[in-house]
Amino acid sequence: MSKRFEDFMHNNKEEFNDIEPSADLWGKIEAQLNFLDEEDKQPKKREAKTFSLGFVLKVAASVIIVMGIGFGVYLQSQKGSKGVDLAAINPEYAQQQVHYASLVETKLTQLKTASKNDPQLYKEFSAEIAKMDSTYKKLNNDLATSPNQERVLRAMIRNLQIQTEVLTQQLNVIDQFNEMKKEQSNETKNI
Amino acid sequence: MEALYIDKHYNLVVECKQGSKKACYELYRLYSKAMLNVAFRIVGDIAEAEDVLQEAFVDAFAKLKDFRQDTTFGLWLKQIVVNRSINMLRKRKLELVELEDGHMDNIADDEGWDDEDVQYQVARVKEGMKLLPDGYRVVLSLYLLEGYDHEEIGQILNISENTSRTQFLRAKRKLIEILNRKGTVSHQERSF
Repeated sequence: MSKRFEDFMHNNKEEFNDIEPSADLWGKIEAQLNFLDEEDKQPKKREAKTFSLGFVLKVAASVIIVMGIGFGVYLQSQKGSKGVDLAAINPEYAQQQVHYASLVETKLTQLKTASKNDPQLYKEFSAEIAKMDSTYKKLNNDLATSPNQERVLRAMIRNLQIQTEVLTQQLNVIDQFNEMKKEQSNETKNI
Repeated sequence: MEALYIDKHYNLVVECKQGSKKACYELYRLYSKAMLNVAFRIVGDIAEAEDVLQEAFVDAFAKLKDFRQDTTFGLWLKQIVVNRSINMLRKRKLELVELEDGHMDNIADDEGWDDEDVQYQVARVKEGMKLLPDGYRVVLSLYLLEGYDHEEIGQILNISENTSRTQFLRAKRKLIEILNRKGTVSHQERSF
């Protein structure tokens, strides 16, 4: 049998490849290979992710800020009331505390008006009271955590009592001083 | 370098392996036409051949990281295309048994098997191949156009090397028959 046919086929191999793949075939292949698309699609995806990540971060940041403000407000309110119910420790002491605290308040305003003419004196006297008041605040801070709240409360009342006593003395001093001044002026008048 | 095959697209394959879509497309552009024709010659239908080609490329790109490049990408891909094409044919219940057409063989033998008068033309041979039974067409194209030897064809089709050899000879004989008839006989008798 002659080999003419075989030779013909070998020589014309390339001409037998005449069918062209349809234009959309690559698209179909590409669609099934999205895991390979690191060049084109991945960056887009990453971009989208960054956007959503940024958004999430913004949301998270605002949540943290809101929570922080809320916590701050909460702390502030805690400080205000100190979260300690004085009446629960000892109702009698609580009454005394309120009594002396208001007494201190009124005496402080009295001192302020009485020493209006003498700012130097007022500064000295109020500094003394301020020192005692800072001790009082320290005690008040300790109150919440103290194992013996009654004792701390008693100390606070004691502090307020001393404050009132000191204030009374200061007011007396001012009164005496004023009287002395008056007498002096009277004496000079008399003379 | 001991490499038997020097793949001129070696670096392209490396880039495609690393996930470059551009490189993968370039490989598709280089090989899609040849592979489509390989598939078409086996399955005998353009739409099916395109399906095979699509599956083969998806398969190839997905498995590319396991491809050690000890052969060329073209040969490796052709293997995938051929195997997938054969599977497609098998789905259509191709039986690669020796087809009985003794009648024609006898006529051919009687005529002393002479192809001296046959003027081979690519277009006519192609037309003739389309008229061959699936089994004949597959062996003929694998042997003459895809460059496999009978041992390889035997492995691909799961038949013996000898069966491949006889199948090929019968296919060739029948094809020349067809060409002879088409040359002399009217169109009506083409459809046997």
